[in-house]
Amino acid sequence: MKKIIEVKALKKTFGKGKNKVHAVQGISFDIYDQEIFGFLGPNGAGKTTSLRMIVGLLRPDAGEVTILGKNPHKKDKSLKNVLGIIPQTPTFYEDLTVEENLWFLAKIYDIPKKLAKERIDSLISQIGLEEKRKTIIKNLSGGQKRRLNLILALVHDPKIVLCDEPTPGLDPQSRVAVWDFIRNLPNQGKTVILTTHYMEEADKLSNRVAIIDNGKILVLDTPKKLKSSIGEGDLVEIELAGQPREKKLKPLAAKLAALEPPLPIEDITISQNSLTIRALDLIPKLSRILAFIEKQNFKVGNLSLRGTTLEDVFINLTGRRLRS
Amino acid sequence: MSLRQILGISQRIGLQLIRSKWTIPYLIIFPVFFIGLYWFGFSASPIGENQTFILGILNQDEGIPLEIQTIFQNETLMGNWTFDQFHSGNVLTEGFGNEFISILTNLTYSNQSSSSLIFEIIEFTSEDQAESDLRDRKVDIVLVLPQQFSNASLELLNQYWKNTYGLYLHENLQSVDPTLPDFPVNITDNILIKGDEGYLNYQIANTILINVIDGYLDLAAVFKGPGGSITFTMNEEISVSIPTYSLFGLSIPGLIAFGIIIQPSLISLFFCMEFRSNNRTFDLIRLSSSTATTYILGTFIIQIPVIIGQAFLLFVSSLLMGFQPMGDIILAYFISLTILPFSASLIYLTTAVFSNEDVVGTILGFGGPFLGFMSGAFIEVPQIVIVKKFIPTASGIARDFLIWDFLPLTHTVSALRQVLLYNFNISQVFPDILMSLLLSLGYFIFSVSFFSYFRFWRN
Repeated sequence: MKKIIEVKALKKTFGKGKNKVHAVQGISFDIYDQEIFGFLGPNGAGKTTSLRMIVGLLRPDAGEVTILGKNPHKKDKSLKNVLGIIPQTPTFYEDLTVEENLWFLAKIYDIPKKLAKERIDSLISQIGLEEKRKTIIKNLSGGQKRRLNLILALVHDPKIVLCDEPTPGLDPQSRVAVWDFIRNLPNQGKTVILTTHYMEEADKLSNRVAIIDNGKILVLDTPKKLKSSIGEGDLVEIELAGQPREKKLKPLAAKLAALEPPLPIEDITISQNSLTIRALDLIPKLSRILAFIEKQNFKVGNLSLRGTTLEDVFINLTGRRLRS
Repeated sequence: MSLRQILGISQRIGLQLIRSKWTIPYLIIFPVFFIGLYWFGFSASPIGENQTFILGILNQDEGIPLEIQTIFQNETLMGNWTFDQFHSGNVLTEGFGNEFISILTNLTYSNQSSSSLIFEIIEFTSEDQAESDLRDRKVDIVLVLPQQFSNASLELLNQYWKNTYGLYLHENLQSVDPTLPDFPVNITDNILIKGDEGYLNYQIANTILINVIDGYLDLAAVFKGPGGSITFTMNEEISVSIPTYSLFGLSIPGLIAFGIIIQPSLISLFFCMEFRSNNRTFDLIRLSSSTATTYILGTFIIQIPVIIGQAFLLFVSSLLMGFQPMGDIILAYFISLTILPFSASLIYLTTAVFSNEDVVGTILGFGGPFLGFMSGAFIEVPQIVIVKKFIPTASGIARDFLIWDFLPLTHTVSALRQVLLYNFNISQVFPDILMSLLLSLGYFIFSVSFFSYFRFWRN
């Protein structure tokens, strides 16, 4: 596949002295034509900073970015109108109508009137806001505003679309609608870079995912390969009542792993007051696990049984949850 | 950068201005309220009534030998001309300078119940002493009558008489020779008035003095005397219209200039909406082929009608509240517009540094009065000289370049004062207009570069 973006050893530091923060610490990767590339990581991991450096909105301290073989930090005119960014915060003007906001951007991107009208009509139709096109933004619902936010970056038909946390705060229905919209972008010939801290979002939308934490890429691969990399089997997540400390859980995990006769357990991960146990053919083994935990004077507060997720990959790599 | 992009920015800000509930009412009410507030506070008690101002005079007039015959050939000249020598047709030696000082010394507030003198005269023999006393406020104003004062006065009179004869020639005075030479000298070019423009007593005294000079230049009345002779009468009692300015009236030039420069605080609210740290609209703009210049020009297009309208309303409000301009108010209006680029530059400079429209609005809200004070719009400013005798003036003698002269507003206020209070014409205030415009454009260009680098491209 054709490389669209090449990132090499990108670094960015903010602040000075004690307040110095190494936001991005030498990340490198390539993004290919018409793929959805996911950046998964907790808040503050360096996703948005990386994104802004990639498109030329933020100058890196070190490293190199090329988009279609050109440096976005050198004000190369041929890169203008190639990039579209869907930020996590609204990009519209509350006191203008839906249509006026789109026309404003069409003019800013210097799109001829006839072509702009066609695109605006098409985009409004794609997000189902035909009846609201002459409505002032502040009179739209939260979901309608988020849908509008998606298309503002597409008025100029960019080749590369950057979606920065597109779904926080959305109801499940709207979230699915946004996912469908993003999923459809490669079909229109676009390459998408998606940043998210929702593992499900990264999993369902991305062709490849880079898990990022503390400004470093921990792993980069397809969601399927990332999940399988931590082992086979299902997972049971056991949340213990009474908020026991993590250090008390370590002996419990060791005893479970060494249980006779063996269960056998593929892996046990501790995160805060939870144990995540992965094992093949897990369900028949569950009663024995729970009985053992009770016997060790722990009480089970909550229990869930599921397949491996990207969050498990993250926990496996960092010992923390994405949300923590 | 294209026109479509520039107009896109303009249209967006224009729509926001119109849609905002309070913007249009504010734009209309502000000038009326602003001027009205000063009118309410400072117009009640007129100042300068019956006040005697201390006028320092440096009389350098060398006088002029004059033979009546050279002017009027064989005509008989009669009338109540002040100079005895003039009446007798002999050589004039005293000069017009002393004559003028005599008029100034005896001027009274004839239109007032009191007959107190308008000026207390102190004559100086040295320019340094005059300037020193001016600085120490021992005198309110200094009038310098130059060496050629009599010569210039006479030439001006000749011109006046020639024009008058020209008028009469075709009626009754066929025998009078109309071929007097043209005398292009303007007496006001040679008179120098010195003082601190920010000093209230100077402002009032200057207004009166300018009126006296105008009256003096209009000194000859011509009428046909008995027996076909011509009588020239110099108005011994110069009719001086002494304006009863209040502090309100004297403040108007400063208020208008100030009113124009605080308008950016309003425009900035719409200009810098994108710059908020949590608003990424600006990212979309930066990713387009729009440049900082596109953005600034788009905003500037909106600022032009807003400031033109605001200046107009400020002038109209002033007139409606009783301000009586001494000079050309249309000229004053156009002078006030020279500050437009500077006004715009304040937005770009502020938004280049601050990204929250509330902060920007507050800074401009406080910065406007600060600039107003620094430019002497309201109060006298200390005389901090940067370059001595640098700025040309109507008198032909350059004045000192003060630290405040780096602000275009200083020159705008000065030019407005000279036109509105002292009835100066465009050629007389041209140096200040030019400085106001050039500095204003200079700040504009600098602010555009500053904004472009620190807001638009710095990342």
